[in-house]
Amino acid sequence: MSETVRNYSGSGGQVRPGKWKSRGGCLRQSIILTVILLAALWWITRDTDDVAAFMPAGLRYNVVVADPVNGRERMVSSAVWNAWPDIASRERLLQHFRQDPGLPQWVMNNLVTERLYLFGDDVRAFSDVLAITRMSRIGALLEKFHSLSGSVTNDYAGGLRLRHAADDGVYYAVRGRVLLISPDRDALIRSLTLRQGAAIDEMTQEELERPGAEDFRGTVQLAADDPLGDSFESIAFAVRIDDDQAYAKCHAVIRDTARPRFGPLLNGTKPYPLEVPLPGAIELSANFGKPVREVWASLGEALESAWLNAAQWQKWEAGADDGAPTNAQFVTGLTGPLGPGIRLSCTGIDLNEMAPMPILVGAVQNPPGGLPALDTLPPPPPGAKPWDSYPRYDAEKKLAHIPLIGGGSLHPAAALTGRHLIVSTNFDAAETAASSVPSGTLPEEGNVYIRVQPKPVIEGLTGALRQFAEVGMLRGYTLESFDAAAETWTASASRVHELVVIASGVADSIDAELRVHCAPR
Amino acid sequence: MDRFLCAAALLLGVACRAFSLEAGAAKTEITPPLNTPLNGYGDRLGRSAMSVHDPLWARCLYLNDGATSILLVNVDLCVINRELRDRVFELAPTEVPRENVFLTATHTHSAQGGMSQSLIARAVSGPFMPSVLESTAAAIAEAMKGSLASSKRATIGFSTATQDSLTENRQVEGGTVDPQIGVIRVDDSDGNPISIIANFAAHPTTVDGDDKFAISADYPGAYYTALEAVAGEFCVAMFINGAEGNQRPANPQKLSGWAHTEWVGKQLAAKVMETAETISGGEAVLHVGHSTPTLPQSMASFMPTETVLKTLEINDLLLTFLPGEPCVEIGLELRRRALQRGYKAQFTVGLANDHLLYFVPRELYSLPSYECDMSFYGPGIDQWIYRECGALMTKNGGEPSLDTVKDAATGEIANGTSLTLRGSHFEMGQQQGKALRDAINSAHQTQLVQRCDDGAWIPDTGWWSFAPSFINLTPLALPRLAIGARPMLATLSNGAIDMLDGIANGAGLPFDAIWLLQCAPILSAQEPVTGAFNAFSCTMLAITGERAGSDQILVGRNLDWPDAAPAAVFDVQPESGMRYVQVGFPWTAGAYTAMNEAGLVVAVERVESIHPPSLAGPPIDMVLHDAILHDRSVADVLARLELLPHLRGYHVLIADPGHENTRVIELGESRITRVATAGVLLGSNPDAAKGDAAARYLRAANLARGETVIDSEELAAIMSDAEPGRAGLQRIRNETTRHSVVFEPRFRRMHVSFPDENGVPGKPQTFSLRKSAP
Repeated sequence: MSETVRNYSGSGGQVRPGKWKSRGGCLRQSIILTVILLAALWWITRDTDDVAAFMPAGLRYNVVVADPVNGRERMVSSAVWNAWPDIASRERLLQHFRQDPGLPQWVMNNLVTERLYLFGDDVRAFSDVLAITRMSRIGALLEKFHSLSGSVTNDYAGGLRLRHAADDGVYYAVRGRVLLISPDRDALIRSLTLRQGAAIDEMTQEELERPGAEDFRGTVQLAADDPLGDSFESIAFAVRIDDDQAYAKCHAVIRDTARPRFGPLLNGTKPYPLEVPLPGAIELSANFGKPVREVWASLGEALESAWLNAAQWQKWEAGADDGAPTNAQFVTGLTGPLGPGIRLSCTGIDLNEMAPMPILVGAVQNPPGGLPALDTLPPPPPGAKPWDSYPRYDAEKKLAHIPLIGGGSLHPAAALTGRHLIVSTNFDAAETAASSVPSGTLPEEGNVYIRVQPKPVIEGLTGALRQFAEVGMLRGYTLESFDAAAETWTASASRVHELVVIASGVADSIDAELRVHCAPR
Repeated sequence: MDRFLCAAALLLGVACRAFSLEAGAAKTEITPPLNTPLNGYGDRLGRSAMSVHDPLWARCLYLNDGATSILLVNVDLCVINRELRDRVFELAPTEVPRENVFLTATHTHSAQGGMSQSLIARAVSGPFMPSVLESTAAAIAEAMKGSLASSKRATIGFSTATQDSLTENRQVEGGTVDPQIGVIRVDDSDGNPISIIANFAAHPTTVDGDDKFAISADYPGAYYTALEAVAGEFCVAMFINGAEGNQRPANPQKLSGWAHTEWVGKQLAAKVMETAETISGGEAVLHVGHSTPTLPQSMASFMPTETVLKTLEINDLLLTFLPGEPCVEIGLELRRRALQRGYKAQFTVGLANDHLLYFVPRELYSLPSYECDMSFYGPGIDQWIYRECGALMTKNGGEPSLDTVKDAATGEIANGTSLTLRGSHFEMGQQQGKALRDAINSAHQTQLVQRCDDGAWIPDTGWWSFAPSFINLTPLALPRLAIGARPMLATLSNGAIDMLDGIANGAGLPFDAIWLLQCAPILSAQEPVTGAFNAFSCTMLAITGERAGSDQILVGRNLDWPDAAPAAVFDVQPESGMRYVQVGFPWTAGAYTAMNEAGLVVAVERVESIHPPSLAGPPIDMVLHDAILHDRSVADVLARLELLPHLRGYHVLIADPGHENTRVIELGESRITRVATAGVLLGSNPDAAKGDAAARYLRAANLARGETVIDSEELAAIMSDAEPGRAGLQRIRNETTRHSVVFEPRFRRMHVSFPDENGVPGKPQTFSLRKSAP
C-alpha cells in the first residue's frame, strides 16, 4: 500500500498534471511533513545514554584522548617524534596516525566530539581496544545514513544491533549518540551488556572527564610478565604533544612483590631539592636523602644489578684479601659517606684514549663535619714507581689522583671545593670541574633529575663505535654500513635538543615527569 | 766523425751527470713533552714518559745526482706508522718526489707513541695525541728542508765492516746474526764529512727496568754522540736499522742500564768511523725502485692489505727498504741474491715507510717466539719479499712470478670432485685451492669464522669475558687461534708446508686459515675451545693372506665425518716424493685415507675413548701426509710414528703389498700394535671398542667371518652394509659416511665411492697408481 497526496482545486476545474493547484495547501503539507521528519530525526538522534554506562571497569587500560580529531594533525606533525629512537617503528606508528579516515573533517568533528575513550585488556597488540565517544546530533544522523550504505552490514547479535564495517575490520554500535567501536566483537558486546556495577565507578569517571591541557591520559594495569610489570602494577600517565616539545607525567605504583626491592631506596624518601647538575651531554642530579654508599646499595637492589649492589661495595671497601690497600678501597672509602646531593655528568667520550672512554665528572656533597682529607693520603708503598697505580696527592693542583693506564681519561682524580668533593675519570676534567662547580638548586624538587642532549651523545657514541668498525670488531656492521647508519642516527639526534626526566618516589610509588624539546620541523 | 761526436757528447753527458752530485744533511730535535706516551713496550700500557735521558732526532740526507733526487730520513722513533708518514709527506718539501723519500725509524723503544689512531696499535703506542703527531711530522719535514737548504757539491762512497760481538740472536740461542755493518760516507768537495750512515741490525732495546719511562734514542743516540764527536760538528751521523727482527745488542760485559746503551753506541761508532775513514768518495748514479704490492693474505683482518716497498741504488750499492721488522735470515738471503746479481754490497733497511710488524722466514714460522707471534702474513712472506724486492733491482736476473696458476686436471666421480695435481708442492696446493676455492672458503667461513662469531671459539676468561656483546672479537680470536696452532707445524716437511701455502694462495685465504682448518678437528677436542668439526669416527678393515684370495691384501675403509662436507679425491703427482691418491675434503692437505705408488696404504680413525688429541705437534693426518709422500712400507710409517709421541687418540691402519706387514697401531696412553687374526684385521677390536663403534666393528667382523675368501667387491659390499635394526653410527655405512674406499695394494688400485645426499653409495671410481697409469 502506498499513500498518495492529492490536491484538489476549490473551483472544481480539471486538474492539470504538473501544476500546483493550491500553493497554500501544498506548502502546509510540506511543512507538516518536514516537521514530522525533523521530529523523527530529532527523536532518533536524541542523546539518551550516558557514555560512562558503557565504560567497563576492571580492564587493563583506559585512555582518554582529548579532541583527537583536531589534535591529531598537531600531534602527528610535532617535531618530538624525532626523539623516538627507532626510526622504523616511529614511521610505522606515525603512518598509523596519518591514515586518512576517508571522511571530511566536518564529518569527523561530528562523529567524535571532545573526547575519545579507549579501553582494553591487551596491552601489547591492542587487539581488543574499545573506543567510545559521543557524537553530535549531526554525527548521529550521518551514522544513520551511513548504516544504510552497502559498506556496513547489520549484526543482530541477540538484539544488540551491532554493525560490521568489514572493510575497516571493526564492529560498532550506537546507543543514542554514543558511538562504540572495536575490532573485537566480544569486547563490544561486553561493553553493551555491562551489568550493574560493572561499569567504571564515579571516581574513575570524574578522572576521565576531568578537563586538562594534556592530549591524552590514562592508566595501564600491568601484568607481572609485561614490560616493567615485574616492578610496577599500574602506571598512570598524561601526555601533551606540541609542535616542538612534549611533556609526559606518570605515576607508577610499585607492585607488592617488588616493594622489598624498592624499599631500601624509597623508604623515608621524599622529593628533595636537587642541585644544579654539572654541565655535560648527560647530566644527573640526585638526592635520596642518603649517603652514596646507601644509594649504591639500595639502587642496586632495586635494579637487581649483578655489580651495583651492597655486596660489591663492601668487597671494594674491604680491600684485598691479604689486607693490602686497593684503589677501589680508596675510592669507596672516600665517597661512601658523602651525600646526599650527588651530581654526575658525562661531558663526552675521549676517542683518543687507549680505547674510547667516557669522561665522567661528579660532585658529591660533604655531610657537615665530614670533609675527606685528601692531602693526608698515605704515600705509596716503598719502591712504588711514579707510574704505579696508587692513590697520590698532587699538592700543587690540590688533586688526589690514581694513575691507571694510558692517558688522562684513565687517570681518575678528586678535589675538594667548598662543600663538595669533585671526582672524575679524567685528571684534567677534575681540575676544570673543581674550579667551576655550579651552585643552586633546580626549580623542581625530586630524587633524580636527568638531562640528555642526544646530539653530542650520539656523536660521541658513533665516533667510539666507528673505531671498532674500522678494525672489523663491531658486530653486524662493516665500516661502510656503520657510516651509513651513523649518519642517520646523528641526523635524528640533531633534531632533538634535550630530554629531561625528573623522578621522585615515595614508599610505594614513583612519580616522573619527562620533557622533550626538539628543533621545530 | 759523426760517431766520434756522438761518443764525445755521450761521454760529456755522463761526465756532467757523474759530477753533479749534490748532498745536504740536517737534523731536527723531535723530543716530545713528558706527558707523551712511549711506544715499543706493551707493558707500559700507554703510560706517559717521566723523564728525558737524551734527545730524539730526525736526521735527513738529501742526495741529487742531477737526474734523481732523494731524501733519506732516519727518525728516533719506534716505527713509521701510516698517519705519521702521510702527514710528513704533506709537509715535506716538494722538490723531491714522494716515491724518493725514504722514511726510516731507528726503532728505539723509548720515543713517543701516541701517533696512531688505530685501536689495535694504541694498545702499544698509547693514546692518540694529534699534537704529538703534528709536532713530530713538522720536525721531520724541517729536517728535510734543512738538508735541501744545505746541499752542496759532494762525493759519496760506501763500505762494510764486520762484527761478531755487538749483536746476538734473541729468538734462537746462538742463532744467526748479521755480521755486516754497512757504512755510507758523504763528503763535501773539500773532503769534510756531510754525513756518515750506519746500517746495523739490532733492536734498540737496551733501556729497561726503571728507565723504561725515560725518553731516549737508545744506543743509536750514544752512537750519534760518539760519531759526531769524532767526525766533526758539521757531520750528521745517521743510523738505519737492518734486518733486526730477531737481533738484539749483545752484552758480553754484562753491563746494566745506560752503561750498556753507551757501550753499544760507542762500539758501533768506533767501527763505523774506522770504516768510514777507509772510504774514498766519488761520483754517484742514483736509482730508486718503488712499488705498492698487495700483501699475502693475513688472518688478522686489521692488518693492511697493501704496502710500499722501495730500493735505492747508489752505484753498485743496493739498499732494500722493508716496511717492518725482517728477521736476520731474510736480510742475509736478500744480500745473497743481490750479490749474486752483481751488486757490490746490499744493506737491508727495516722499519721503513710503514710498519707491518715482523717478517719471519718459513723455517722459523713454527717456532714459539715473540717474533712469530707478531708475524701475520704467513710463512710465505719471505718468498714474497724476495720476489717483490727482486723485481725492483735493476741488475741482472729476476724473480719467478706467481701470476700463472695451472689448473688441476679434473676427473669423473659420482657425488664428489676428482682432481689430479701436478708440479711442485706449492703448485699442487695452488691447483687444489684454485679448483675448490668456493668450497674451501665456505669451510673457512662456516667452520672457523662463524664459530668465532657465535662465540664457540672465543675464550671466556680474562679480558675476553669483559667485551660487551656488540663487540665482535673474531678479528682478534682468529689470529690468536692461528698463532696457537703454528707450533704444530714444527715437525712437518717443507713439502707439506708448501702445499698448505699453495692451497691458501689458490683459495685466496691466509695460510693460517688453511692450517687452522687442518687443525680444527683436534682444536675442537680442547677445552674451552669446542665446536668446530666434531670428532670423526670410521670403520677400517683389512683382509690379508688367503682370505683375500689372489689379492693377498685388501683394505676397506669408511670415513664417518659428522659435519656435512663436499667430498674430494686427489691424485697427487709431485715433482719430488711419491705419487699418491688421498681421499678427503676440499680443504684437506693431510691424509685421512690414502695410498701411494709403492702400495702403502694409510687410514686413520679418531678414538675419543683412548686419549684426547694433543696440540704438541701436527695433526695425525698431516703426519700421514708426509708418510704417504716419502715412505714405502709399513715399517717406515711405524718408525715415523715412533718419533712422534704426541700422537694420541687414534687408530691407524697401515698396509703395504706385503700382506703380512699389515698393522693397526693404537695410539692411546700406550701404543699397541695389532696384526691380522685369521686374515682379518679390524681398525678397532669389537671387544674393546666403546659405544656405537663396538656394534659397527662386531658387524664387520661377522660379515668378514661369513666368507672364506673375500674379493674387492665383497669387501666393498661389507663397507656398504647398513645392518637392519641398527641406527646411526652403529651401522658400517651410516648418515655420516663421507667416503668409502677399497684398496688393492698389490695392484696399486683403489676404488672410491662417495655417497649421494641421501647416503646411497655412488658408483665407485677406480684409481690406479701403477707407474704406467696416466
